[in-house]
Amino acid sequence: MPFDALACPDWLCRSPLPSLWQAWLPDDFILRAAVYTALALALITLLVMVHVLLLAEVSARRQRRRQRFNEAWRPYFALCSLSDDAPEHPPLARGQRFWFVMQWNRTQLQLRGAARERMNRALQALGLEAYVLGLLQGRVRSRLVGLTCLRYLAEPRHWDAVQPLVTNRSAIVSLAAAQTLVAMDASRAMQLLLPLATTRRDWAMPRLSSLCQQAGTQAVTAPILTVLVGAEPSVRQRLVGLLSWAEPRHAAPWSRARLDDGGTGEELQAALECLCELGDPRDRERIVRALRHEDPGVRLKAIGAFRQQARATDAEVLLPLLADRSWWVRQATADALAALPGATPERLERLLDQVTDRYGQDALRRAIAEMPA
Amino acid sequence: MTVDWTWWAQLGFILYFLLLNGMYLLLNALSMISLTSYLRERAETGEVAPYLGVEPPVSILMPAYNEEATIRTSVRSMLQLQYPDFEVVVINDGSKDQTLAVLMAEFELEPHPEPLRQAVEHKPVLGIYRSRRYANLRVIDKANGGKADALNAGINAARHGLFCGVDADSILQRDSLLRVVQPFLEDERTVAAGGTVRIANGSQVRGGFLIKAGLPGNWLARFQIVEYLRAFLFGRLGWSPMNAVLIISGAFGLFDRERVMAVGGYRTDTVGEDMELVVRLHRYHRAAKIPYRIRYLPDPICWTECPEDLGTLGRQRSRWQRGLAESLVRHVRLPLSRRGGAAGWLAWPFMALFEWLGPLIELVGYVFMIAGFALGAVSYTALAAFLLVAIGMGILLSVNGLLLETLSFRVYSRRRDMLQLFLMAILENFGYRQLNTLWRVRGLWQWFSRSKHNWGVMKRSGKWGQ
Repeated sequence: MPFDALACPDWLCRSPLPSLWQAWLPDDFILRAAVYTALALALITLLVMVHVLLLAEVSARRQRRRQRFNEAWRPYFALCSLSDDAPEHPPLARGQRFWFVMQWNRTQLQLRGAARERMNRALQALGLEAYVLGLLQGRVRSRLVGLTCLRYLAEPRHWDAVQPLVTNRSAIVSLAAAQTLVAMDASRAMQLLLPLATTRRDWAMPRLSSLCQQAGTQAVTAPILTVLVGAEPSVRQRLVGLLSWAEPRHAAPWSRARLDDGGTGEELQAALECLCELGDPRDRERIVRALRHEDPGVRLKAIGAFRQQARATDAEVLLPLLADRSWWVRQATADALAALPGATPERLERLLDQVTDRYGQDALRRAIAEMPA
Repeated sequence: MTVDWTWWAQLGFILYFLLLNGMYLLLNALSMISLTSYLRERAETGEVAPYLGVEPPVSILMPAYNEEATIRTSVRSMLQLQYPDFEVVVINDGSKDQTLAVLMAEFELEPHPEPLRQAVEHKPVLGIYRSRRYANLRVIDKANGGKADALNAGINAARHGLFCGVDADSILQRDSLLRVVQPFLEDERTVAAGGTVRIANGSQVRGGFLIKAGLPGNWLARFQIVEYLRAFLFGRLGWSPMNAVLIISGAFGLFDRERVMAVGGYRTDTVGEDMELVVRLHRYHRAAKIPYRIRYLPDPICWTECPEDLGTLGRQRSRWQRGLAESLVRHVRLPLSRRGGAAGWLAWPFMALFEWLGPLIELVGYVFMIAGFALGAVSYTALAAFLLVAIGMGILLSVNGLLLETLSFRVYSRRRDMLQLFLMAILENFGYRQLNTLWRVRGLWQWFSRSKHNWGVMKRSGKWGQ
């Protein structure tokens, strides 16, 4: 089976070793291919091994250099966060600026208030602001480090540099940019971000909740209500959970309207959560009505809201719910009974006689056992 | 005619080995891309685990069977995890030793009249206890039913929407929970996420936490370190971006409780309950057209003690192989479905061809080539070429596992450790790999013959408990 293409290469066969090589190399094409493959594998393996060793060595050296850098700058960062006077610092080489920003970010993570402000001033005094803005033009890693730094600086003048990144294809970069905008100007950021969230399906709800938490109720209230009023039902259903970050007083009219006129399960749950926060006795009737809703999630939230404003005589309202078909509703009802004003283990023991449902009794017994002694 | 047959057989085996290892190399390349992008995206927080303040509460479920030596330390380590809101539910699965007594004494347990949901089935619960010292610790004492059964009881007892299944003989890195929850925060479609399991033998453990990673003195344990790096860093990382991860290790995985209950919880009639659940989750979501994601993450780390004797290791590998066979066969419709996706059309056939039937083909290959050589039907060069390709590919794959480790987390950062791991990557191909093949074939036989098989006794040093 002659295959010229797989014949012994000239560079090998004309070397001083050819006779040995050719004596060993099989004539069969398949076997010859296997031998070449094995040799190629051995060579690649060797190269990978050398690569791994070099890589390990290089990264170990880099780590040592980085450690030395961090040790040299740690006193500076410590002094910066404590004192208003700019402390002496070691020379900062151009190539070390990225490490500096990384270390600065990490230090800022631990700081709050005035200490953070002092660190900001130190970075500006070193003239690194332009460098950090330049990082936003780089690749993902640089952008994220730059955005984190700008988040701590929280300077509204950087808004225009950061804003384009909220539309970045990468959800991680866009959310980091969003966080930075919130740090700069929470109200303005929320006006921009919440409408944008209606189109960005890749912005997960927990991350949006985190943004709202960071922005605060004042910044969230108006834009979230605007979005909920104007959005399509599917979008509304997705974003309605953010209502819990709004000011309950302002969100109450929307919530009451949902409970009176009807809405999806998610909307009713968000509405009840809002009324729970508000604790207005005028909403009692709405909440009691929701206790009988067909969706167990809604009943669960209604129990939470009812618990907030329940009176000592409200056991009668809650008792039927101990026989609810949902395990969670039964447990929440038992907890609500245990939290009624003036509730004692003895009183609840007496209530047990009125509970005919076995699972309801179990739930109530558990709640009694968990009551503080 | 005979010559033709043997020639084709030789060709077949060599091609199979090339295909097998070629696919692994492809997976390796995918893992490298995935790892690089993952590390880049984590640059924002670096070594510090991100903390958003909106992390959902998690129930940690820890099934325990005869764990009196390590349970104290394991539970303590879980209670000290860096996570805003979590509970620990230990499920004593009818232990015959003093596991429950140790827990009662150490954590001041008291009986708690708690009704359990019956969302998923399990053996009867004998008692529920809560700790007087730790408000977030509960212990479920139940009749013995196996790990899957214990996890089902834990799912019923869990009070939070996410549950994390952990082995009682494993320890988590302090920030592992915070890291493994990230996919649930980044993508609402996430229903399960798994982290990396690493070997703790030879490392320093104090107070339930790993202080310093190191290499064990035992050679079997060292081989397993290379094996685990290979299995996790590219075996799973490569499939994750395609949403085709079929295994989340039972030692450490985070799940959406409602979704797991929707598929009926863990199956108790398989020894590979962890893989079976993940494959079932794929099938359920695909059939019901529910968007979902199952992720693997390289940085949440769970440390586990690996077997250091051949008997225990052999039983463990046979069991894994049997579990794999059960999971794949039970869900044979996944690759045939029109909605199979990457999990059904790529990962399932890959696992079936190379992991399920692989050991059998490998064994037949070895036997055929060696017997053929002995009988004169296979030439010396054919045998040598076969062994060179098979072993060469094996070494290359193991070394690539080390490359991924060096590129990413560098847990074994000392040069001496790295050189020793290289040596292991080479030596494991001379004896250990073939032994593994035999154990796996035994597992296949156990699966095929439906032989009643128990887990056997897992010998542990129990050093962590000291």
